[in-house]
Amino acid sequence: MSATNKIWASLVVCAGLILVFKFLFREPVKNEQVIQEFWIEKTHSSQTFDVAICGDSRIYRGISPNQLEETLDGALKGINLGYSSAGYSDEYLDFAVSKLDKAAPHRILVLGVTPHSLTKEAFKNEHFHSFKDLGPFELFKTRYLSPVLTYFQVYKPSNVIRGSKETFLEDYHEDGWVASSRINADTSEALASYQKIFSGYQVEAAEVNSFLEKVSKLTANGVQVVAFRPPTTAAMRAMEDSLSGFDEAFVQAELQKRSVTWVELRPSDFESYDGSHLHHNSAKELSRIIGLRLKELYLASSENPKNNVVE
Amino acid sequence: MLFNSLDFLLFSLLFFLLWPLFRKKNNPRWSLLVVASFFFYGWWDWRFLFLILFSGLIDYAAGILIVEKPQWRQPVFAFSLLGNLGSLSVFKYSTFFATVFQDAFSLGGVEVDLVAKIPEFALILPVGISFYTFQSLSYTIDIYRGRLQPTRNILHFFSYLAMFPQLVAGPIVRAKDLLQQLKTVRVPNAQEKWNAMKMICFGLFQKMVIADNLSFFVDSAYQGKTGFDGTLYWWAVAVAFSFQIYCDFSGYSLIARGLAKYMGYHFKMNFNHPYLSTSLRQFWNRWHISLSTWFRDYVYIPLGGSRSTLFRSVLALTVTMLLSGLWHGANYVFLVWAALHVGFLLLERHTKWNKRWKLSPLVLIPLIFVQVTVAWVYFRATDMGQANAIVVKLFSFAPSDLNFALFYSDYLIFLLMGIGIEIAIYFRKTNFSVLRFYHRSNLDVMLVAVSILMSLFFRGEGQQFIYFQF
Repeated sequence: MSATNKIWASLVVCAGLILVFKFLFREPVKNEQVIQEFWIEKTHSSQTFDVAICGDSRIYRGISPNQLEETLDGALKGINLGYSSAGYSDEYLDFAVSKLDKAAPHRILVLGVTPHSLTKEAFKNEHFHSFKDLGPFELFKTRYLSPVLTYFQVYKPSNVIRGSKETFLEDYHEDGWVASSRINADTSEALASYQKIFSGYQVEAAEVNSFLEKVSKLTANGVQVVAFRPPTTAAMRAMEDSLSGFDEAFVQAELQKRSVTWVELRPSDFESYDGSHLHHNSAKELSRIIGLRLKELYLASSENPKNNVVE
Repeated sequence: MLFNSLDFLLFSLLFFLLWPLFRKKNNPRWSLLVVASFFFYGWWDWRFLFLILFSGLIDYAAGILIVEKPQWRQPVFAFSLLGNLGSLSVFKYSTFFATVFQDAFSLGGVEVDLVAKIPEFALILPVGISFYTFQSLSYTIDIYRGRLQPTRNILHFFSYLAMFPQLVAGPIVRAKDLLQQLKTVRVPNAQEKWNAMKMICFGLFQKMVIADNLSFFVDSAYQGKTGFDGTLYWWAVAVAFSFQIYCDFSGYSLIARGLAKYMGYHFKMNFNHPYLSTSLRQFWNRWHISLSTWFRDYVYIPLGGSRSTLFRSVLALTVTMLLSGLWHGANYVFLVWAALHVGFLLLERHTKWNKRWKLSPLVLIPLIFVQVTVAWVYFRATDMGQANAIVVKLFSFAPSDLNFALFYSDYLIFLLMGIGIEIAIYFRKTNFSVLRFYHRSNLDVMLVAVSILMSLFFRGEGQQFIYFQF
């Protein structure tokens, strides 16, 4: 075979192999391209909202803005702006405020305050920055070349040999929520890694004060802030209370002094699949509870009772 | 810009569309090469361009001055060395040297924090600085030695120095090989195009499929993100790293050679299946050949090489290998990696065990591979403590939880693939009937098609090429 024929033959054979491959093997459950697109849209979309929900992975897995909107009968539009290991730095909070509709009657920030979100490490916001700092060409690729890139998504050999048998199920929603669950859930799974984290670093006064100062400025500028501690298993909560240096009572009291509404939750009402993150059914329940609270605070004409335990 | 990225695909499509229009005359051809190469390099960080311009301008001017002002040749040559090695020292070695001094002071009971005093700009390591600095240096050294005539055309010079296929991770191309080629117009024929296509596809396969998939397994071990332990587990990690670094770097070199070939230029082979070597000496003749020959010509032979007294030859080998270690990275672990190779090489040279024992290549190849793999542990480890601990585990016969093979099966399958390919290549090289079958059945057509398919659907997590940091 001549060299020219070899070039053409290899391309034809390759095209044939690709078609056969796509025909024979199912799409992998986890599509990295879709995930990348999810984060980029969340970060760079120019859309604005009435409610911006902030926090770390407990939040982006734990609150569904669609469920929240449903509870509010569509009166407020929300977006989940959670990122992995997000921390309440000024930059992150400014980003969240930039997603609020300036002309809306209510500009609401919902903050999920975890112990980790007030640590120095979390304040680096590495996951958030990995998307925020992307250049225009990266954004162009993800936004406009995505159909092509999605076709060439990555397979693992196990996808091909055994079929797609993911045990960790994630569903990425346009509203910023990642509905999550695990087959054969283990509620102690995340404990060890959090223990390791908090043996390395803890919540420190500098970050807590920075957060409180920023919240003061936001509320002074008319942003309405609702905060809560995302529910986890009792074991996780106890471990974080003992190791992380997080003083929930202090943070709650200081936030309330700054006109923040603190929502108390009963952790036992929720189900976690790893001890840290909520199962998607519980995430919907949490969203409903937060939605009810927002309705009570901002949509009902009656008084705005604060600090009640939500039933 | 990474070879295994969409950015590069678009860049190279545009470049090869323009290339036939520009290649006919020298200045337009060199201009396109320089502009494209600077764009390629500046894509990482446009500020890096100042450094390559600085380094290049010194050597461009030095080359001309050495020939035209013979009375100044020594100071000009010294200035060129100082400029190149100076910038390399500042950007690559300042932290290491500061640490060495700190440690030395500390031994004397004086505690100083020199690392904290390093200016921030010197902490940035420009991509591929070691490669283009060595390439630039060889240009001036060859002119100084009277083996090369300098080019007067600055575009010609920068086409050589910054040519994008080999700019950031080699092969280190000598001026005497490339400058002349750059003066000519060569349109590749069909066979060369096919060879170029094979090189690019096989290179992408090595990098994206083998190296990138192994990186997850290797990184999780070295970063302590897994609970697996024991001798068998660490041998799997060590062997996986041997194949990761080989496929990563060999893959880059193959792509670079393929791109150059498609432009009509020839870069010499940089890797020749080093893990099939039957001696460590042979390994170094097959691993990163362009760097090994650079050190041989500019350091080892000037120091006396192997044909001088025993002391001089040991000294030459030791200095060359230690410099090679330092070239790879500014850390003690690279020096130990180099020292281990010196030890193994001296043992081999003076006992000739690999020849005396009359072992079959099928025994010798694994023995050499084990030496190289143990040395790679130091190359990969973050510090001496980690490296020593891993080497102890390799030889402690500690039990391993074999579930690691199942847990990482999605990645280890690529290690088996890498090993299988090398074994197949061994039989193709040594068994004529296998070679004949390969050619008669046009197996390369199928292999190119499969390598494209694998690179598209089984690529690992996109990572930078390991050698960019050098």
